[in-house]
Amino acid sequence: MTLLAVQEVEQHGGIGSLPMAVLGLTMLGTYALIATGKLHKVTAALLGAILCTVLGLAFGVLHEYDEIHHVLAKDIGVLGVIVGTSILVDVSGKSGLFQFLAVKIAKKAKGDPQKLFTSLILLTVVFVSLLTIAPGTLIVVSLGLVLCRTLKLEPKPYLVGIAICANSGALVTFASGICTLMVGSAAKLPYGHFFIVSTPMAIATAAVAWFVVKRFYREQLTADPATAGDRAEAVAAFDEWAMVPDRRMFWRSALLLVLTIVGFATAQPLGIGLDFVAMAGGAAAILFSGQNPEEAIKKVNWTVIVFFIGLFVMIGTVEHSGLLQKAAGLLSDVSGGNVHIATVVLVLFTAVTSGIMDNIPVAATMIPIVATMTETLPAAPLWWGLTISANLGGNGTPIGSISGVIALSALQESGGGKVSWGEWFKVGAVTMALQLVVVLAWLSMFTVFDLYPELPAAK
Amino acid sequence: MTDKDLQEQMAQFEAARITAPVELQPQPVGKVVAAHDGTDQDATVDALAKTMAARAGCELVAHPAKDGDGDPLPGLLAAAGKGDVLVVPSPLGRDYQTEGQISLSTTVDVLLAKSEAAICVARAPIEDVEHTVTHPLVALQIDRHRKVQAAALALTFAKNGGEILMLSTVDPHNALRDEELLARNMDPGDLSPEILEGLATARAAALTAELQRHAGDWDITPMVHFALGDTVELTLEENERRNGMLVVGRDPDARSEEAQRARRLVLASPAPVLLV
Repeated sequence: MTLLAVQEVEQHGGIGSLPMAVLGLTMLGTYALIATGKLHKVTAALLGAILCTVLGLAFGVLHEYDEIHHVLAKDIGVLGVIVGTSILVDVSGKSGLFQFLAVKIAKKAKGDPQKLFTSLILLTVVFVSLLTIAPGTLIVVSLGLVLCRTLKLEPKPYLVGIAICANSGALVTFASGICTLMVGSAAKLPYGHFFIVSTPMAIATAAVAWFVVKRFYREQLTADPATAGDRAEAVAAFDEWAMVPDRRMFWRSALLLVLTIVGFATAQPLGIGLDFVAMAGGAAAILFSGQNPEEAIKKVNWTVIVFFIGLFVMIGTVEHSGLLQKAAGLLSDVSGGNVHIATVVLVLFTAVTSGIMDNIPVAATMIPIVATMTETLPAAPLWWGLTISANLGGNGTPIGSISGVIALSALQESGGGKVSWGEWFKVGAVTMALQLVVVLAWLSMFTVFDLYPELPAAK
Repeated sequence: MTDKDLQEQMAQFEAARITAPVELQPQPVGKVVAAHDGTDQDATVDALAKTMAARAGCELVAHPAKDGDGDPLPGLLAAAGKGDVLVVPSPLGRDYQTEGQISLSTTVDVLLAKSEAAICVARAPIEDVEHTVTHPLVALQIDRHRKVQAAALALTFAKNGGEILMLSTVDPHNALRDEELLARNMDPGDLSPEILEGLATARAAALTAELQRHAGDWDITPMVHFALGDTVELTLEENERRNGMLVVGRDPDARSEEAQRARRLVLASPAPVLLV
């Protein structure tokens, strides 16, 4: 696709460096607005898209307006998956299925602070892998806050742990995180390959986070042994069945989720898109739940959808100018054609930039760059490196990922205190650094021993 | 993802902490008494009483409530006692179609205050009596002090294949007078819809847990709905398409707010109302 864009540019007499520079600066300016929060990210992305479209047409980068629709058509599958899974997740959420599991698992800790911490980390990884980051994090953060309030525990260690481990949960499957989904769709990474390359990294990086956060907050994760009986009693008072308003919907939701996951896993061999599976799952959820479709559709994350539309238009226009291909060439040059170096450079660059600003625009921008790099370098290490680092990069700063934003604002709102940038740097950035070491070792092992499952040939 | 989503989710988890668990069992019924008033409501009363007796596995007794010009009240009070269900038409001896929305009749009013039996007030003709009896709607906030007893009797008729819906409501207009909210020392400024829905969830939590846990043993499909607004209106609205029997608690003190609410519900309901 990217090569085609360059060829198209060349066929039309080439694009000068001025349009590239102007479009590049517009994109960077938009990202600066997003990173600094001067404008809401959706407003910034739409503004960037409008400016790039006008400039693209004025400079002849876009020959006709219809090219914008071709740009969007390329990513329509991602939007379909987001819409379908949002509906399914909302319906499952209302069935009490996840709340039931959350209470049942948290009760096993019997109010012991360390066991509770481990339970919440485990829940975070599992829930995010099934529900995506925002809804998965919200459920575990809410439970964590309620349990801490009941047990008179300091919530900060738990919420920081949840925020960091959510980004590991996003690596479990193709559809666990938005960045994962974007890269997976662009690279056509088969669903099953995630269980070989990415899921082990989800578990390993969550274990790293569990260790670092637990150690960092070891003093807060203790309680007076004399109160153990009271704490066990207080937690035992939570009844998971009280979270289930409708038993029929409870089981139907569980079945629909399982069927959707099976659908995701078998979609590619069957020649259908994941968006089809997600939309079918969402439609079935509405049909069988008896819920008001209007309510379920309202819960779709329209902010992300509109944000994506703005980003895709902006990045697509910049891609047409050939600038991203030049950036890819630069990254390839830095690596000297060595895939190990290219992977390290890519992983570090993506992780650091994802920490500085929202990881979605970083992943969206890096996709065409990596697509160009794979023309001269092995594709698998680069695509997997991008997938993993875009997610884990969010751990670098308190605003790097949506899970951090949800957990830390909930912590503050509930009176649990603030996590300063300095404090986050000591726990989150250190975790991220260690996670990246593990990830790079894992990816290198796959490259050296040629363990990557073969990617389908690009059409 | 907003603060409201967080509040809502936290309220749900908080509601799951049950400080006063309940033990729910189907309430045994001694006998079902069908009170006839000689009007065309007798058919509805008979059908209801017959189905209820069959579901509860107890004796069915017919009682002529309007036999001559005498006062039917003493006979009705004597016909059914504690542990029984008395099915009575309302308004007694008058036409439901023309007067049903105006008056319950004095006899029914006094029965509601004095009878020791549960009173099932028959209203409009019922198309599918089996469905109505086996699909009770328990309106928890009509009289929240008797919600467990109401749920237990509803369970008697719903078990073995029926569906029981519990409706838990909070009226935002009366929230500041709400005993449970007052007990929580909540700042009126904090009473967001999410907090109020959390309260509705909490009010039903112990019963929800008990019903869902034993749903398989009793072969019932339990459901719980939460809503904000006027309890009577919400109950009628919820039952409009469902056509189940309404089951509510009954305060014998006719002047109490609970008794007034129950009376308002019976007057407005075309479906039969079982007052426990």
